[in-house]
Amino acid sequence: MKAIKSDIDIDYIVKHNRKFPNNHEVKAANVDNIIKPENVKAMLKLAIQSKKRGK
Amino acid sequence: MPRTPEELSKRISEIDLAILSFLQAFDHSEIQLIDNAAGVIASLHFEYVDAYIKPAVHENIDRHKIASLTELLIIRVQPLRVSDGDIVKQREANALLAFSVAGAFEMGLSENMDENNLEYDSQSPAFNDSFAKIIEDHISFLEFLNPEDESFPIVSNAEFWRLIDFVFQLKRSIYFCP
Repeated sequence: MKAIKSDIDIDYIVKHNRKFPNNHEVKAANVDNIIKPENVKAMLKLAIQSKKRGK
Repeated sequence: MPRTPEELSKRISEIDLAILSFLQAFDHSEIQLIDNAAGVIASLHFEYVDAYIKPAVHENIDRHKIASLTELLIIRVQPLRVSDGDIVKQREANALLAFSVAGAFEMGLSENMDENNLEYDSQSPAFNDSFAKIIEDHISFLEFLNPEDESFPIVSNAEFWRLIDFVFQLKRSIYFCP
């Protein structure tokens, strides 16, 4: 399957050494089991409730 | 490419578990999972991160970009297929899966989002109605994206997740500091 392209101009970013503002978040690669099964189910519940409210 | 085979393997396991958890809760007999869905999504993930995200950040990649990327790669791959070939059912199911997995990724790293905070309550009907509309529209946006498109709005969609996290931060601060 073909990869997807971005909505930002990466050639411009590299050529002019531009970067997004620095952030000080936890590096996701250093955290195990970020996506928890109960959170997937909680988000599905939120999605279904939100659709019902909109009707 | 992933830095190590372990990194790829870890990502595949995580996505696999997320999809299976979704299917446990979203129990529709006509929905089928394609072979090696998590493997395809994980490979595309690292390819995209190396090509488009790493060159544009100083050090760490913020969670909103990763959540957005995960969400839109699910739309790209359409890991859920419908046995009767109903394209609307398929697009809707994959949009719900993409939203659920991306949101769970945000929850895993956010101090602002937890299961209790996600519940609609009776304290602010106007807030709840507006928030529900935002979520509903976002899921429609995911359904309406063309999975075959060459370019996907990963970075602009990351700003959606940043703002959702901010809304939960405000919700928390209102409840804890009345």
